[in-house]
Amino acid sequence: MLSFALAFIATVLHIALCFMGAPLLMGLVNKLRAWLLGRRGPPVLQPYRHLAKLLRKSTLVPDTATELFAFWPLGAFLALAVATMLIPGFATGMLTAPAGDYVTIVGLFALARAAAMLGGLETGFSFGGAGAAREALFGIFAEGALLVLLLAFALLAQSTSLDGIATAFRTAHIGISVSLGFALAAMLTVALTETGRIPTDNPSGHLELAMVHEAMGLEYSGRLLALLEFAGMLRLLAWMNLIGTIFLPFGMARVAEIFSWPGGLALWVGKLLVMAVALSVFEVSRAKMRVFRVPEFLGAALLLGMLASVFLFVAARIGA
Amino acid sequence: MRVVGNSIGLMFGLPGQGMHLHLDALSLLFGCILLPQVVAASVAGMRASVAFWAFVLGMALALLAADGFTLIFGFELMSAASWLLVMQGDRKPATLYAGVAIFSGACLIPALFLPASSLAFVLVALGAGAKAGLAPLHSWLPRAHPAPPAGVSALMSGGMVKVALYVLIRYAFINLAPAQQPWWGEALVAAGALSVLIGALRAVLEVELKTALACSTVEHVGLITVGLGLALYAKAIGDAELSGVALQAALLCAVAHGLFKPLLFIGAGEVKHATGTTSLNWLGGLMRGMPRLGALMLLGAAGMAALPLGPGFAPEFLLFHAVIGAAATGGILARIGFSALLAVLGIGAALALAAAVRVIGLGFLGRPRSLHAAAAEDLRRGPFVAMALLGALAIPVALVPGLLLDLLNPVIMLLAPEAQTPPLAYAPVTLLILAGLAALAAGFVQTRWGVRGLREVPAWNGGFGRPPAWLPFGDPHTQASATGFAEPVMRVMGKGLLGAGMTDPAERFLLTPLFRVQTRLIRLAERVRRATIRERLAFVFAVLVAFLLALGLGQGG
Amino acid sequence: MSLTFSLAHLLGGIILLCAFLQLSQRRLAAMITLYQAEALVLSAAAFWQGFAQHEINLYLTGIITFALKAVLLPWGLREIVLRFNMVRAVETALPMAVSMILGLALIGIAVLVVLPTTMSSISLTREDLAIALSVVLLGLLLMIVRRNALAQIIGFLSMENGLVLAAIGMPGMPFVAEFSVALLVLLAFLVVGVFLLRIREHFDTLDLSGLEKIERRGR
Repeated sequence: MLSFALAFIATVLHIALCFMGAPLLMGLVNKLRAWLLGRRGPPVLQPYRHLAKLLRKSTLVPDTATELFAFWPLGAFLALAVATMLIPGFATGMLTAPAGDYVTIVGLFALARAAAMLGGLETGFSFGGAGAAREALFGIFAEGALLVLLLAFALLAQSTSLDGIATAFRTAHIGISVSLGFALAAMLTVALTETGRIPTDNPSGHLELAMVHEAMGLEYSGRLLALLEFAGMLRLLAWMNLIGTIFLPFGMARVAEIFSWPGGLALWVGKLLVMAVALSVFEVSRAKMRVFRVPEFLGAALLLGMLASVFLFVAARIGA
Repeated sequence: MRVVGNSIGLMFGLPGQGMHLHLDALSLLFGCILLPQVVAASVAGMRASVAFWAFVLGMALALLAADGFTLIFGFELMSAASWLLVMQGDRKPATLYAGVAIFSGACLIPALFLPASSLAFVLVALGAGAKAGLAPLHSWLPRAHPAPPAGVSALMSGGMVKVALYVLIRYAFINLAPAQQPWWGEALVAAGALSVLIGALRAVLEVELKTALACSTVEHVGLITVGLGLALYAKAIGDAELSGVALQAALLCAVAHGLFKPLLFIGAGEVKHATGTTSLNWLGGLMRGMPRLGALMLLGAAGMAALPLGPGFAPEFLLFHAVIGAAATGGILARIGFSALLAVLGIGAALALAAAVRVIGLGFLGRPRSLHAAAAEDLRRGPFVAMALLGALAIPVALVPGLLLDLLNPVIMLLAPEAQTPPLAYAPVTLLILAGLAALAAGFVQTRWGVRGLREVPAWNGGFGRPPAWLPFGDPHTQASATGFAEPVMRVMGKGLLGAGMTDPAERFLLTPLFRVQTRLIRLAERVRRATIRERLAFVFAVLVAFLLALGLGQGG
Repeated sequence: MSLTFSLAHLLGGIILLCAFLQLSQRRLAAMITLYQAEALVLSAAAFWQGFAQHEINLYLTGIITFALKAVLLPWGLREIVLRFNMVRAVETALPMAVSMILGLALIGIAVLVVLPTTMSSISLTREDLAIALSVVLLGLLLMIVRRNALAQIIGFLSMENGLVLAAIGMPGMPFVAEFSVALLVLLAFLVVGVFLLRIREHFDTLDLSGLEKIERRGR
């Protein structure tokens, strides 16, 4: 009973922190990027103000849109919200852990992508369609690479649920392995593409022709745009949580031991900070690549994912 | 009619033998897959066609057969009746279709009477695989399936390929089990992976709605075959859990595909009825005029794309787990092969997603691309009932796949007696509850801090001007077309895999050489026909001498 | 012991990663940067092995690697790129995807070859040998799939890095051999540099496809 109560509290805490903190993370990344570019940048709390402003604005529906216009942002938001709830953050052993299989998470990301693409095609204007077509192309290689990576994780951790992977990697029988290095490189590539960051897409770009993620939401306004933007923030947080859970599982709290929570929370915040800094540094040091170079970029990730499981085999008997 | 043991003998059929019918868990499962489609197709407008009921009777006989003759009789009846139905729609693919049907019959008939051996398996795999549209023998399927009326297309895609797979399962797992080898499974996995890749890729590129759906059928046949192949491989090497998971994946995929694909095909038929075309380049905005059809097609497309909370996700989920389980068994080559398989399945899933988004996004959303699409009226009553039936049956597959898997257990026990089936780790109901909570939270935030109401305005469209008044839906050329949407995929993958002309590799490497061989054979036959009497006599004489020589050598040696 | 192993593996893995990524780059500048990173990690690996095996020679190898390959050669290569104005992307002989898949296949072959022959020895050398062989093969592949002479040189240098990686992983490899290999590479680099200058003077380009055409015609 007590353990259930603890798990429940931890789950609620995790969900609340993620939902409240996602805009903060986005604000932080924006601020860091601005600093690195020598500008002052918007305040860290700006995303909250932005969302509140959008909620108060009236929502416009293009006259060429169908009845489902309002449904797609909600679909994208719900898929990413569920993914965020399922990916462990500061602790392992939460109530949502049994449902958090890696394949389910990949499926939820695909669901969010599908909803966003349909939102782009909804109004029938050219920018949304072009953005959706490009997103479809990127998704093909990103999903392949993500699923190939699962093989390396499942073979190392003997589990396909994120909770199981984190628990297995935390106990550190694995050490530093070449396979995980390859897997990390591949995962980061996919993460950059899926979250729409430089070098595949520019989150702060203003040219419709060059947009991918942003182009699909061009016709949205008011509270629907707020949902889409919040979904984007959740996506960034969900990916950072995913990478943190798999590659930096050290110091994650155990739900049953309440005294490990503060340390786990502090470390979680620290990991997010480190990843935010790394992302900002990477983004300001790279240029956006051409759209048709992105499949090569992701194809390299896919092959690295395959290399990860091949090298796992070579090192299989290291422990013995 | 008399009952012998647990099979029923019929009083007609082969002289002295009769025909024997037998119902076990496997036939029952495939009968259950078939039944809703038959009901739906007949409700959707095929009730009055004799060929249709002959087609259904053939499939039922093939499923219930207890002896080889009945099986072949049912199978060929099914082929012949569906050939008639295809010919009613379009004469051109019917010839190719008949050729494939003859090929599969020619492979199956000797196979059923051979003793259990690898040769029998190869023949069964070729015969059933050609009928199911398994790569590289699939190129007839995207031509023949869209040709007949929608109800028949639905039953061909959802039912007939399942009957072919049923024959494959029945022989590979039960009748030929004593001779099984691990390479049988590996061969099936390779063919299935090829089907997944080509089917999914072509589904993204095809402009005709029905052709795209048929290509997606090739993909799903590939998925089922990959599952079957993994199960066969696991059974041969004695991995109980892997064979259980792989069979679950294959059978559940057959069930799910048997529901959403007929739904999509009947919907495509209604699109054709309402607008006069199924070309995605002439559709658009159908959701406005046909909301009921649009909603049902959305459900079907979610299944086709294997999205979570849709009917197609649970099988895909199980299949990924089966591949991962298989990768842990073999050596380094198997590891590389299975990780490549995982990549192919992942790419295939994402391609299927793109194909489904394309069908919905270009056909049902956006602006109409023709006046017909703008003036489309909603579903007629019959097809609506048919689609609603299939959609309603798809919902339990989507939401409680765990219960359904329990129902599949007897079949799995029949196919692989030692198989173990671990509980499903995918819980759609949990996901639904979590999504409901998130929706509640979003609703609360919206009512607490937001303003209500929607206002309809002209689209912003990056600041472009309004279209002239005589174009009520704007210029159709200013929105992405089906060809345009697929262009990035075509450029990156299509050119590499299909070539610049976008022809199927199976046509280039299989059909064209076959055609050349046929031409050469015809020329040869013509020469024989024109031969003089002397030449004919010489030929007969030569054969006689050769025969005598063989006889003498055989007796002397 | 486990730290020694895993760090050595990690460094080897990064070297392989750099070699693999060179295949996926179109620009010479990026390839040179990757080569420089590869050489840096190689010198770190040499230092680490020297520390682990208590071999003073390996420190020397590390210093030579660092000075020669991580500083001098990239500087020279960049100089050539600037002087010949080859900042733009260079032409590839095969599509990118094909060359990357070929690279993966080569790595698989390297693993396949190394696994059975070294089954008895400890896994440290096993994995290191597999990586080293892969780097060598990838370097050769790079030379084949690029038309540009400079890219081919980078492939050659990368291949040599693989040889050095194999050498430092083996306890008891004589230092003289490495030294001579390093000198040889430097010499080859100088010769090729002069050769490039001559090509440039005569043909005004470093794209070898023109030369290939002449070669074919002569046959």
